[in-house]
Amino acid sequence: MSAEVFDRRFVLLSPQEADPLSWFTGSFVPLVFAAINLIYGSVFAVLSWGASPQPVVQIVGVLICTSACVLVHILTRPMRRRIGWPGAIVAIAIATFGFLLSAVGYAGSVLTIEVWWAPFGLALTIGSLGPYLPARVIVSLGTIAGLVAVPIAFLAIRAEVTAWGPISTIVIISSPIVSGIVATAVFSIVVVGRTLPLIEKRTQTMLSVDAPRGVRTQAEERQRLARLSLRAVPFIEQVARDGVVTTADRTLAGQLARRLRDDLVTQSNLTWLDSVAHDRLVVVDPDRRAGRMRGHQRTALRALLRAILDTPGTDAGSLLVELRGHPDGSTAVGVSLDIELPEGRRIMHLAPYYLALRGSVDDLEWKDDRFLRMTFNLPAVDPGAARDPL
Amino acid sequence: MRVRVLPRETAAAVITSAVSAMGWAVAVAVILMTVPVLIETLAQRGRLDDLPVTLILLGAVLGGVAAVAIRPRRWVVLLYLGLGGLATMGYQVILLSGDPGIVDTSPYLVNRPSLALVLVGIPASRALVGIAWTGLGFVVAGVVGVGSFALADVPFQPGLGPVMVLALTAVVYLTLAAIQARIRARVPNFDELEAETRALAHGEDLSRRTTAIVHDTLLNDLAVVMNSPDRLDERARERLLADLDTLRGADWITASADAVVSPAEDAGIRNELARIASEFQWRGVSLHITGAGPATYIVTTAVADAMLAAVRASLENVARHSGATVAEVELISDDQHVTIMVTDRGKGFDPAAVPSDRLGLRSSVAERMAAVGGSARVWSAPGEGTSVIISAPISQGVGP
Repeated sequence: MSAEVFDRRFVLLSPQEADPLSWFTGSFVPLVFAAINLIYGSVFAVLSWGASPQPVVQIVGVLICTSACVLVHILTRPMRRRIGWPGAIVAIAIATFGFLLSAVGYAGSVLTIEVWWAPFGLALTIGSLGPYLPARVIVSLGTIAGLVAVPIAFLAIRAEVTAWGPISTIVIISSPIVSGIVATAVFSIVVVGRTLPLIEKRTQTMLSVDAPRGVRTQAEERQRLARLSLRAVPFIEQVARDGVVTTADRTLAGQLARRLRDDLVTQSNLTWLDSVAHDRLVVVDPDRRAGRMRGHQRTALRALLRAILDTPGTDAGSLLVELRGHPDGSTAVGVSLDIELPEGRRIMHLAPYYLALRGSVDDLEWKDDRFLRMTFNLPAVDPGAARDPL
Repeated sequence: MRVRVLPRETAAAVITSAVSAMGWAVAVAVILMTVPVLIETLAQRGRLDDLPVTLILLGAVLGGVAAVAIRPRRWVVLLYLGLGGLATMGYQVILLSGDPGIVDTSPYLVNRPSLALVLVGIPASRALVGIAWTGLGFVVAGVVGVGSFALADVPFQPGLGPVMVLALTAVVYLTLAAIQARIRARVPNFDELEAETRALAHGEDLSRRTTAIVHDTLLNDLAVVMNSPDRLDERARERLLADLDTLRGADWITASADAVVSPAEDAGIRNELARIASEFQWRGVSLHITGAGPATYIVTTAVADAMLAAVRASLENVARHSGATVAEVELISDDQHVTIMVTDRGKGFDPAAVPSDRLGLRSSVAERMAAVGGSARVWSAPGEGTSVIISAPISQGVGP
């Protein structure tokens, strides 16, 4: 990732945005950081219990900083919208409040600032946001939090810190916070910077049908052709050889033609969506828009539909996929399932498929009510892409 | 295009290796933040004479971190741990010598470059490898610390910093590795799913071709039989047998969609149009073929096949439904498209009133042309005749 290939997206995208599938169980990062915060803060608070006039304040501060990490965990659960600025601001504000509460609690008491838990608590909260925020947001919010919290904390405890000068005191207090900001931002940049080129190179790769599948597909098509022409070919051959057409021949030709046309119409009306599950999926696609979906969109949607159908408790025939055209040429797609599934199991089972689909379509929305409701848009077909829709 | 999903092993390796980059950045931050503390502390203790050497030694550690970040090879890291360890030892001995009180409160200032030793490793794709390098840095930092305190004749104070860095780094490595392992177990094999999609699309394409060809051959042959006189003439019998050969050969099932256009095929469309004209004249529809400027245009075999089949299907509609005995076939072309217009002055029809179960123009013309990047439009009205405009992209114009 040298300077000449540095891409602005490296600081504008989060690791989660660059590769959502790597982080759908990543909400455990904030939980681990919450645990570290709770353990380290509690140990420090207990060890310095006698040194502080209000030791309970430290416990409260630890719990507040821990709750900030827990909040990040909740806000980054699978299927939720990206945490963004508002969620991050709230989490960091809570941790900053816990940090300041600890500083005020230590006012008037002897404090070893080199190992003080509170700056670590704020740093850990910043770190817990690493997978979910772009480096730009991490640096901005972390810097603001540090600029607000460190001077206030310094004013609260400076009288009790005798071992260090004022500059050293400020640096020592801010050191964990600065390290947290630097570590989190660099982690975000490096992950995005290494992931994006890999993922983009991969998505631009065209795949061909592998030989065994190609041979199998051709064999199946030959069988279908044989079924379609089973009655009509011998009949036409006989008529062509004889060169004579009787009234009975004309009647039979009419019957065979009607049957053949029905078969062809039925075949022509099938789309790839019907192949997902013939009897367990209702497809409403009056304008035959399923055929306009690109290969990666088909893969992602088919995988999600199959995952839904494979979910225990899913009823046959209740899964509906509806495709409707917009005037601008784009297509709105709705997927619904009228069966209530246990939320936790549903989310963890469907999350990877949902995230893969989110990377392939526009405006994907997951309605988080009791039943599964999902909508997304397919952009208008690029005329240049029509020759090879996959 | 493929689904935006990285192979799980690759994604896990990227994330795990990012932890080492994180360590280098924090090491730099730690060294830089040590400088003001060092200056203020030495000034307070009246030891500013020691500042230049200690700053140079910190600079040496900083340079080592930069070298590792720029060239993260194993031998560079080992060299850094050796030379950086010596620089750290020099820094610590200078601070401790003659001033043991500098660690009275804590060894915070003395330990700062030790943290940089613990934080440096190589980008590891596996968590345990990353932890092992951090552990090696911790051991070097410990040995350097013990040696420095011994050389300065000061009782050893290990300090919490290196231990906390080691513990935090290990937790981060293990947490990320555990998350990736959980994800690996849950994420489906998208490579396999993509291969299935391609195979399905391939099958769909074959199916579409089969439907169109069966429509153009077998279904039309049955119509010929239904409407034929008692005796078929030789040309009709030959045509029926030729159609059966087409079906038995089923070449379209194995044919490549984008076959290379060879010079011998340059006049393919013209020759085939002549053959179609002859065939339909026999069936009672005279064709007037006009247009086609002096230029030659190359289209892919798939486009040529689709256009000819679409023309044939349009003429089938003329022969079977229009009541007309003459049809116009006009060729028009520009730099990007070649267009064939089939027009009759027959009875026409209302396109909106065509039942949805009728395949003719939809399957044989519109869908077939769309499949090769072209288009087909139908204009008709009762009593006003019918025009079918079939258009497709050209690959190359090669001049007159």
